[in-house]
Amino acid sequence: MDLENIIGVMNATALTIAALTAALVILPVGQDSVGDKRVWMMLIGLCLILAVRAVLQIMDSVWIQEVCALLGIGAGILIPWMAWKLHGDIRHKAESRKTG
Amino acid sequence: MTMLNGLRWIEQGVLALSGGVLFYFGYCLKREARLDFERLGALVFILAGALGSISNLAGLVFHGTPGYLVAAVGREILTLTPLIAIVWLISGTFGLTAKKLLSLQAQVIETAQSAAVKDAVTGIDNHRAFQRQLEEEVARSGRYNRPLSLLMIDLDHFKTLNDTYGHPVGDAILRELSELIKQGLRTNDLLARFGGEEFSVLLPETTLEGARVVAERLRNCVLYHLFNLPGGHRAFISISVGVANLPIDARDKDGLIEMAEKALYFAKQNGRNRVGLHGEMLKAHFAEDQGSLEVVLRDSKLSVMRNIGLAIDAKTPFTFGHTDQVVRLAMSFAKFLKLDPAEVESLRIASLLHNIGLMNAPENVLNKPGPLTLEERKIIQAHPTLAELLLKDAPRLDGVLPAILYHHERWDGNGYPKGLHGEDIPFLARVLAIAEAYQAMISTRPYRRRLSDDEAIEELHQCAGKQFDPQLVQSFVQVLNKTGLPP
Repeated sequence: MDLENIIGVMNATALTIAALTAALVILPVGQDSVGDKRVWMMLIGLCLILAVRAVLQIMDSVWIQEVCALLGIGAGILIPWMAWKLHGDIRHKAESRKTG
Repeated sequence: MTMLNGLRWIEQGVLALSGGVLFYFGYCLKREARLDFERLGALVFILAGALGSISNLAGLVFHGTPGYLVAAVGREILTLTPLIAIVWLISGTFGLTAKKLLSLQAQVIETAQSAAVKDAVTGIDNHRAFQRQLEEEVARSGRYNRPLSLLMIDLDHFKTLNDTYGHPVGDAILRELSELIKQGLRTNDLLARFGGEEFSVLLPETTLEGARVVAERLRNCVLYHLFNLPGGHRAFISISVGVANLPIDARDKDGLIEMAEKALYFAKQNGRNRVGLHGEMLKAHFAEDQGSLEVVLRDSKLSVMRNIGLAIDAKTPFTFGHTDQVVRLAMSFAKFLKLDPAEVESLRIASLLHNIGLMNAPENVLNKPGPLTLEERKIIQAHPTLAELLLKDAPRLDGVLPAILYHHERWDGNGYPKGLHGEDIPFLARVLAIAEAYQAMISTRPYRRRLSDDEAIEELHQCAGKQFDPQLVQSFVQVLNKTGLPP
């Protein structure tokens, strides 16, 4: 197992833990949480997909590597979308603070 | 392999774009962020976006193994962004929740505190808050020797208003009245709802005359104010005000309230819509019945004197109740001797104050079990003279002073302070001397045990003609046999 694979496993573990923590701790807080609940769901989903991708990268199969590249493309689209949603939520909160 | 390579190029291109977009939103977030955690999250997005974008662009430009490795680093950084976002949002959520909880807690505490000291109807201080403030102001007034006045304000015919228009209208009147009174006060004055339709106003640093001016101003202010009530009702109402002052009318908190309430009652009795002063009330009583003022003055004065006597008795456990018992003995004796009322009154006061000169005597001397030294004896024997010094300027005590000054003189001339002899000793002093000596004999002292009643009477007989007036001793013994004193 080379360095890239070790990093991949570590990524997978960290992303899975993050997804579980968010699901177990943050979601029950409901409307007190920062940001839209859909963003949280998307983040959890994204974490899990990327965790799977990190594990799959270890394998040598070509078609699995292709799936990994497709997942990377998906993540590359979803990450800006997530950033855009968070930006919207933060701006909305900032305006609420201004207007009281 | 070709397809995989193509996909990897696309992936790198998408991730390079994604990093750029992430960078841009991170920048926007940082600009609009107000809270620390928002700024930190924006910074992470900027860095992740910049690194991801640059490394994937580098991967595209330097196609081949080195370029692929650089792009792989950027890809890992970007794909970790959801993880970073989650950590960031968790900390923000907890921060905001904690902040909200703290704010909620502060709100609950504030509401509870407000409910404890504020009146629910008028929003001004309630009775409890008033009592606490009064206590503080009375203490401050005593400490700095400054005047303090109290107004008790009562709405006239409030019950009729309540019965006619209903309680909601009554509450509206109370609210409007409290606002009106508040506007007529200085910022330092303390307004509270004392209870029902009664309000109290504490006026620190205000003399009786100043308080009367304030009270009159409030009364006029209310009298000419048209109250707009719910349901389109309008009404003129009036108030009665009782005024009392510390230290003129009272010495303590409870006394001040009592006097202000009496003054208020006096104002009500005299037709309402007026200001009543406690002093004026006394004058009115005096005009009605000259004797009643005397009774009021005498009773309050005697009460003060009795407290002084009790305070002196309390200096030593052996003299507990001494003053009260001497007064009882002296009064029974006076009744037996058929003294005139003025003499009875003088004897009563002399009995109450006969030991006032011991106020300064050290407790170790008063409680000394053995014989006194010459110096200590001088301290004790100075008490009649000291009492005279303390009381000589007090009004209406002319007949009392000789009894106090000479109650330790002896019939044979060996007493103190002047060594008077026989009938040169004032009559009331001789009477008091017997009553006091008898009470002392039947009480335990640090230097001897108490005598029984018979032993004390025997001692009186033996000292008749030496220490005491022999005729008065005979009379006193008759009083004891007749009444069975002491208790």
